[in-house]
Amino acid sequence: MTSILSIRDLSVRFSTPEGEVKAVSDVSLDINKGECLGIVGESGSGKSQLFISIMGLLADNGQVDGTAKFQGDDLLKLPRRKLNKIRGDRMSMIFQDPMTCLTPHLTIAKQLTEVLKFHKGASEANARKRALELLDMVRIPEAANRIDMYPHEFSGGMRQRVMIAMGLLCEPELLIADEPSTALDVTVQAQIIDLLNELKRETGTAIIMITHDLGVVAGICDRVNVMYAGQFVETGTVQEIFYDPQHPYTRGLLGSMPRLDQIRDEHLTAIPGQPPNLQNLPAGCNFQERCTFAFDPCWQTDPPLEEFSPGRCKACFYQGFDNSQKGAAS
Amino acid sequence: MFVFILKRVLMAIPIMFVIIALAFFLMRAAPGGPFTSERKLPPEVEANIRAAYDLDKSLPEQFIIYVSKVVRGDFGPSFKYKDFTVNELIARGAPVSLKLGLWAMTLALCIGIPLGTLAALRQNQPTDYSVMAVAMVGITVPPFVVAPLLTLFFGVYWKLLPVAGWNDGALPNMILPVTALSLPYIAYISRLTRGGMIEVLRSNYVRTARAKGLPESVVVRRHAMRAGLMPLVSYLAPALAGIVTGSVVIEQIFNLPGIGRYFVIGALQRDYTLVMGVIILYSALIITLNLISDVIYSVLDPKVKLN
Repeated sequence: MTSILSIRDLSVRFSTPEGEVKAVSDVSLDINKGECLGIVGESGSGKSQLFISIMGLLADNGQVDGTAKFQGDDLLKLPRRKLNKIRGDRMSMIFQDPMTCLTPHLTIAKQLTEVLKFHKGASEANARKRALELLDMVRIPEAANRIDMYPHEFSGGMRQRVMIAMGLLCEPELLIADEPSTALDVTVQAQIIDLLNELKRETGTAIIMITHDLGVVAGICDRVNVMYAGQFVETGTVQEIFYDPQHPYTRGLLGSMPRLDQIRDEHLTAIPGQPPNLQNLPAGCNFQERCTFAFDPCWQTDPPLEEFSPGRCKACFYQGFDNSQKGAAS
Repeated sequence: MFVFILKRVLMAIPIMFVIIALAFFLMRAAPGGPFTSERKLPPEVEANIRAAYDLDKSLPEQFIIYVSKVVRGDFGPSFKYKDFTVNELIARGAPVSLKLGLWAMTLALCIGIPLGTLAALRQNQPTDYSVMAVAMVGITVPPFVVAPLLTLFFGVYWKLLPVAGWNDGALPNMILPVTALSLPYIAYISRLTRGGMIEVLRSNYVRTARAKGLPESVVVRRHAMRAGLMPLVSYLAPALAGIVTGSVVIEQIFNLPGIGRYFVIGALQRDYTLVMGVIILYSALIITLNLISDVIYSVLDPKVKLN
């Protein structure tokens, strides 16, 4: 299969008054047509910034290096005009925080139709029809009445669905969804996941799902990249990550998932400690301070992300994980 | 909307009354009077004059007479410009100041908004710094420095434009005063625009608009401009009222028969009725423009509901 998006050695740096912050360091990934790749990590791990950077939307103090080939075009080096032809049309992004991501003084109709008018040259009537179709698809009740309303007349969950509809308008080849279901209640969340699954199957849209909700990952993703402190620490298929995690951070993440089928403990399990300060990364492994398996080499050298079996990579020196007996999630 | 406007107009009546009362009694509290600076008149003559202008009555009585005239739209006779009523003086001066002010404000908006937007788009780059430096000069250098310099170069040295005079508002006579008048407003407007736009350009919804692949000009005009110009709307109401009621300095330097000069000369000479007339005009303008700016707010921001 040919990859739709191929990122190589991408780094994102921010210059701040306190010094340089490296939000993403030398990250590489590939995603194929019709595939869903999950990017999992806690807040501040750089997962959003990685994709904001390939959309050309970094804040002014941000600097991105490396390459991000989208069907042959390096997104990071394209002039603005050519990038504008791609983003919103062949590649779109659904942002988190729906409360602030829609323009407050424009109606939903205006904000949806302008995409179709610009990219597809659609007429007002056609664009409106398509927009309505999408609003129905994301389960906005009474879409025909609501389309001429302003964002503040919608609830957070509905605004999130409008954002999703916006991302799907042009049937993109690549959809980047940044926590698309966080603001939704569980039933709607399930509907949205179904919708995205359908889209993936029917139009072959590749989906990058940025999330920290492992339930969403299990529901839609084919492969998962686990991100920690701006780097991928483990990659693999969903089954491999869930049932045979090889990085202590992945194990910690899975172990932190509350489960209904177990006797309730007094406390929820959590990974101890805090992620490192990205401005001042430690020598050696970024996870060393929170890792119960850390040994000598972890304090000296940063473990590289290495393939240890076909399609499986991890960045860890420790070799002794054996998940054959039990489900690792427990 | 209609109820809102009606309410505001009704509310304006007590406000106007308070303004008139304050201005009336403050004027009278100032030492001196309209006839004190002239050479000593025979007591009978002075008494006659005072009686003619109702100055012999008690202050509250005078106030009641004045207010009842104002309600009927009569601002009374001028104390200093003999044979002129205040209404006539305002009718002569106001159009001049209005024309001057509207042109200056138009010019200031046409230059200030694009400059401020440009500075915001190039934040912390040389373009931004130079625009802001020019704006700083525009704000700090007073018109009584700029206006004579303009006159000196364009009028005296290069002889391109008339040095002064109104000439019924002919274009060449307008250019220098309008320019001098608009400079500080250009500066303020570009700074306000820059501040508002910088904040909006960093917002999440502008990022969304960019992610849609819209050209930057559409992103700025359609998605950013409206919220970015909000601070300007509240600034414009008092600024416009100030600029159309005339600038004393500009009118004096360019010898223009505007209303600003009447106001200051009137105040210095204790021309009670003339000063009162201009104050009433000015306050009515501010109240009206503030009302208009509130209505504009509701049009610009769908979240603002008038009631």
